[in-house]
Amino acid sequence: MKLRPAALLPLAALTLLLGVLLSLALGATDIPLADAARLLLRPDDSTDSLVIHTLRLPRTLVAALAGAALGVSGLLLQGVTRNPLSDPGILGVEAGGALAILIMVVFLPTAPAALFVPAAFLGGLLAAAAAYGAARTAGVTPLRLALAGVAVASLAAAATRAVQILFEERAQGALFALSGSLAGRTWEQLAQIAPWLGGGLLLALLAAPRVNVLTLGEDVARSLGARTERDRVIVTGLGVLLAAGSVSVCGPIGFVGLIVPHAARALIGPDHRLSLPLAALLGAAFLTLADTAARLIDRPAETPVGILVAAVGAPVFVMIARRVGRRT
Amino acid sequence: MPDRSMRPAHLLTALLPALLLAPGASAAPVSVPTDRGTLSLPAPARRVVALEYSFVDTLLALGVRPVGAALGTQGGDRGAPPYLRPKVGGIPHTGSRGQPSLEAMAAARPDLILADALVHKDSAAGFGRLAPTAVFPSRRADLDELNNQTLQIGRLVGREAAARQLLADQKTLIAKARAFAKKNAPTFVAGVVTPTSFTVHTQGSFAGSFLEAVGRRNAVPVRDGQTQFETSLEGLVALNPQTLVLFTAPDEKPVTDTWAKNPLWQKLSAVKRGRVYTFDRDDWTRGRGPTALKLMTAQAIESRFLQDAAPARGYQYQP
Repeated sequence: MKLRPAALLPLAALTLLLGVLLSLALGATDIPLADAARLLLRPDDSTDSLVIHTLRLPRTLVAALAGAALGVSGLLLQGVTRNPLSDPGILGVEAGGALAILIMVVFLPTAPAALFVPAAFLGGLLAAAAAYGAARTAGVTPLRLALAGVAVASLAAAATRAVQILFEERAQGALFALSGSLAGRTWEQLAQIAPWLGGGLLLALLAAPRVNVLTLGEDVARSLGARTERDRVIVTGLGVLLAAGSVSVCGPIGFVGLIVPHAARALIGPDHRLSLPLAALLGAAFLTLADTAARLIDRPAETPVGILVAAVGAPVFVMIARRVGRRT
Repeated sequence: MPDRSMRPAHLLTALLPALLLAPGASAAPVSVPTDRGTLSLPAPARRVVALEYSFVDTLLALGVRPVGAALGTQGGDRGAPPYLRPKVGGIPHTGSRGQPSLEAMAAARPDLILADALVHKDSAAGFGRLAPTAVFPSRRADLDELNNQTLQIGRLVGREAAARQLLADQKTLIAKARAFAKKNAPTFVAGVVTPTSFTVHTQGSFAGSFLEAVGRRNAVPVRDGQTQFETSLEGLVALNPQTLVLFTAPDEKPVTDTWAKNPLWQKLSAVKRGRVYTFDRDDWTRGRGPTALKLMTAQAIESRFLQDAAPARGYQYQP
């Protein structure tokens, strides 16, 4: 069933709005939804207002931005690799980005937090290249690429643990950023990722037609006059950048980039000019709602949202992988 | 080594004086309840390896020097708490609490190992192959449980009388401290603050239950079986403590330093009332023995926490 795009995008935006409001209203103490909306627009001096504006709003915006970035990153990577199993988590991009941040914090302790995103970008690129290189030696098929990616991700995660154990003291500075949680994220952290992710999402929107051409396959794309090599590099770079930005502030959160693009394409069809904004909206709504749910599991203690998302995402991954396996 | 040629009648005769003289240092078999059922020793232990600071503190207070202790810093442990440090010089390290070294423990030739029910949940079985191992819940126990452990450890090393004396002294001391406690003082929230986390210590935690024992009321009950749990600034605001007790370390920048920059911090009743106290987190939450308790009682009075008065110099929280 495909709803008309004209109805779908506003519907997704509405879901996101609801997610944001819930995220502002629920937490260690619950604020009525109407009050939350009022205080959002007209802050006052009350404790509730301060809770919303100094704690929950920055965290919610980080969640929405990171969710949108992960959703779009997954969509771009799935498009450029023509692989339904591609996801910044599965391809090792997130784990590579996290490792790069940790290495930077441990070995260049004076590096400012502004360098988190570029470092994660570099680490993510290297991880993606390693996964692709490993898969290519045996001929790239969707499952092989996913397998190679998972192996690279495990390797990077193992290296991350090793650095963490060997440099226990100095690794402390990165653990908060890489915790797979959105707890305690502030305006500062939002400012740190907003330019990268905002810019990345905008560029991704502009690149959507190129992704459409790339998904047709090498030969068709070339015969249509596309400079496939250049486009592929641009789109992959954007996908990695978006994932890196989200990793730099909340750590590796897997499967958002897998579930969201599949949902977006199933709802609105394969045209990236439509599925991309939808993936952004759905990703933002998904991570915001997941973070709100994670807060409520064991409140006032915080459950890392990454665990919750993985619990939902892993079965979806198995389902899609089985479908891909049957097809090949 | 017991003389196997001794006949039962002779054995009884030989043991009788010891039995009569008990509970002083004796050679009689001892058996005590532990977390893993009853542990029986043929004779009180002389060579003890202690794998938690509370056991080290307790043994030293009983006048028994451990032949090995988990005083190392492997795996990020912070080592012995400051008050205990001068007393443990020369005791061989058997790794850290989280990463005990079986080799170093074996080299100490213990006849008793004291292990923690939480940290050594899985490794205690391995310790049992080196020496009889008594497992007690040190990490997540409250004051009463730890006092009971003092008694059981006293029995295991044949110093039950000394243990009972320690507990009686402590009771007297706490009764004296209670006299300082302001009647109907508001409740408090206590927590360990590290650079990344704030962990609430509830009524069921050691420090949390101690502060109740000396006469103040802890606002936070045990939650879902958790005696300690992490919370955020938002969670702290929800608790809105009237009195706030922060366990911090002088070498760390506590996360509350960042929280204090948020206007919400000023909204906390404890901050408005000027009733935010700090104590050394190593001394207060990691010692958990009779000696630590003496220090804690003195500081609870000296800081003016019990009196519900503005914190004395050195106990004020200055973000």
